Amino acid sequence: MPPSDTFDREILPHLDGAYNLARWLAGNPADAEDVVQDACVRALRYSSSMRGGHGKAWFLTIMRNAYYDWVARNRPVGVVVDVDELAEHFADPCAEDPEDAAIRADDSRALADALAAIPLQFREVIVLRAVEELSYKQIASIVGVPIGTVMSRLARARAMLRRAPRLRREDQPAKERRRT
Amino acid sequence: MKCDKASRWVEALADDEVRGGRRILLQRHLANCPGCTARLDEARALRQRIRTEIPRFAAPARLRERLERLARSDPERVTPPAPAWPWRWAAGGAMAGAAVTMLGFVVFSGLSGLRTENDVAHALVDEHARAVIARQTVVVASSDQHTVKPWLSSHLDYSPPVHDFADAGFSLVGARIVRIQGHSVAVLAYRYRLHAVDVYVEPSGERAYPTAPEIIRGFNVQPLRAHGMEWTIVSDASPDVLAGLAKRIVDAGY
Repeated sequence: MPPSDTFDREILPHLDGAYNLARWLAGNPADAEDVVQDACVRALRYSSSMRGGHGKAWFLTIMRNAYYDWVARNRPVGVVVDVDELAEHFADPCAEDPEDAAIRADDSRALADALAAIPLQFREVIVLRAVEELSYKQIASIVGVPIGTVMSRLARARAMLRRAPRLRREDQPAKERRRT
Repeated sequence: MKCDKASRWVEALADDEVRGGRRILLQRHLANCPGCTARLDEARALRQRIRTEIPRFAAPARLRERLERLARSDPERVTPPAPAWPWRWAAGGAMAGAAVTMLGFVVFSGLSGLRTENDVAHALVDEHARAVIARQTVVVASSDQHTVKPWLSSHLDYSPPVHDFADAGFSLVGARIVRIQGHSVAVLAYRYRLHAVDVYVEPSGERAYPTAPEIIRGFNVQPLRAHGMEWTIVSDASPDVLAGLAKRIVDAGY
């Protein structure tokens, strides 16, 4: 398949999904773009020797591999999510009443902050399942683990998400809050 | 089905991932177990919260456009146009061909090892693109050549010439060292208006470098052999601009 066809059929439809995953994994837009571009170059190379119809899981698998290679090259000590940048994202100019929006932003930031803070292997399954809405089977093939592992990672990830926002609230006892 | 087993499956049920006999058994258990039903409700509530509160980031338009250009340019198939006169800038500029020879250029045929040259050029463009996108164009940030040069020398087994050409519009912003196909290569980072211009410098004779200007994935590549070094200028600035910088590098007395 010519690269422009691969791009139109196999990459472009899943670009937002790939970018979203990269963005949640890398934690900032600049690195996410870098990784998606790398994934795109790889996808164009691979697909020249394949027939079409790979689907979303195919490109996301390449994206994920590109990300882990990128981490190995650039960030040996681990990735830190830029929470301020996240806040900017939530400061949506289209939001309704500013006061409502502020409260809402604060509430929803709690969960997004929690997601940004959990370890990579748990963050990625949440993004793939809950945001990209992929099936367990697709996630298993992207991450390269059995479906049972996907389920147990999702369960642990959700337990972390359930726990994290509560600890951030002001009404929690000081002793509890210190644990965050 | 007992609670310990059922509780492992309620999240999957909330995800609509339980089928067949297991689903029936699970639903039968849930009908009689308030504890597991509460777990299911909690799982559904969290699922709903994630849906509404976790933003889905959309690919920025600039990324989309860049990738589109990349896909259309087809790096594997594009062969660089063979210019009748490789050093177009010299022909277009004030300098005559004789002067070019005088300045110590070696124009070689480039017929042998085309593939290797191409690989080096692609590797440099990849590196440049990566650095620009990640906004990591410099490791040592300085416009002072007397800071940049010693830093490079201390990290390399050779000492690349360093000059600031701010008077010609090329401001030195710093340098970094990259690994290209197993070699350490010095990169002098310049800024020309809004364009990042990277100059890759390695001693001649290490391996086959590109010999003629070309366009790879939308980036302009201007090779140059001068002062005993292979220089490769990579940028999205226009070919004339890069040729202008090449001329300045040649002219600079080191």
